[in-house]
Amino acid sequence: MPHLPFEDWLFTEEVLSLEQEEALRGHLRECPACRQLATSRAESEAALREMAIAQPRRDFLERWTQMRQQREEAGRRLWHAWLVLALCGAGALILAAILGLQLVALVLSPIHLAAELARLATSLASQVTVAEVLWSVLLQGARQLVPMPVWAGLVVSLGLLCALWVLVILRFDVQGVQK
Amino acid sequence: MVEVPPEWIQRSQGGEAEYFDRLVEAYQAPVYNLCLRMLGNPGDAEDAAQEAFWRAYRAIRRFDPRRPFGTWLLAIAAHHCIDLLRRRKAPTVSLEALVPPQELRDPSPGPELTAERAERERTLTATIQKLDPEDRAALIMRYWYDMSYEEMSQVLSLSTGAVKSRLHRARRTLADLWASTQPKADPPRRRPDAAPAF
Repeated sequence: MPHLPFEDWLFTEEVLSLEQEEALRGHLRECPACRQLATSRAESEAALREMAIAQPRRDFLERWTQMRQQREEAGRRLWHAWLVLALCGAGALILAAILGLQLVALVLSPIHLAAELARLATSLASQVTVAEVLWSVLLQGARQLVPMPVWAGLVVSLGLLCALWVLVILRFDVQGVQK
Repeated sequence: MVEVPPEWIQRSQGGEAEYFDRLVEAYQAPVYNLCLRMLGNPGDAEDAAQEAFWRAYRAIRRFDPRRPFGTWLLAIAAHHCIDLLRRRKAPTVSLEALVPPQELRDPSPGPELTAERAERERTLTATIQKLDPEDRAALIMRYWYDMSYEEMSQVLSLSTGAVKSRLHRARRTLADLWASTQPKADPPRRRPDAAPAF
């Protein structure tokens, strides 16, 4: 027995004409499969209409407010982190541009480049010599002037300051962004 | 659908979060209900509803006040649920989903459901989960929110014809699945005085 178009008419929301309605009724009287389908549609739709709007848990709004505040805070931290990163990047770019321009100027005249390199090497060598002399003088003088326990205290204080610095960075920047 | 003063929306668009919180309070039930019917699991539905509100909060400045706010909000929730369902490799069933949703609702005394009705609701919830996500969304919007084809086409970003076709298919599939969940009629009982069958 052909079920089309009766199956389509069973599930449409369009208004059927009187002839279509009559034909559908006639078909349903004769066809148990379509009759079963019509019953299933009616039952399932009745069950759908019976189901009420489900309510969330009572603390839904509270949870929402907490989530919003946490995400806004995390967004702010992330924005700050990006800002710092962008400023550092901009600084690095400016520095690279200045150095790059100088380098290009040097590369364009090889004699000037050789002279600059020689000057740089001489300057570095003389600075190292001066630093060595100053360091030895300081060490000798300081050893006589400053007692050993003060030296130890200074070294420990410097270590603690470094540790504190690392902790502050971890606590307020890295972990803050991760939250 | 819930109606809220337009001032709440305007103030939310102006960045006053307290007014958006009021909108959340007003729309929490319809949004949660949509997510529950789409996902079939109260825990997932609650998370999805929260996420939908967050997305709406981020996008509220772009909301056109001439459109109904509820429809816009439900569109965000529906798309989020459809995305979640598409990402799911296999359907997940939680212990919560095995308990009738009515029992998980507000524990305060309310109109009691009969055992038969609760069972029907559980069967229907499980049956809806077998539909295609977009067919499911069309069905839910039609039967729970009485949306017109035009509203559904806006919410689901589909043409009106596509909505009609999805709704038609959803009804057909639901009826087939519903029939398969219903107990078959008992075969005629043999009379005790009838001759043995062998």
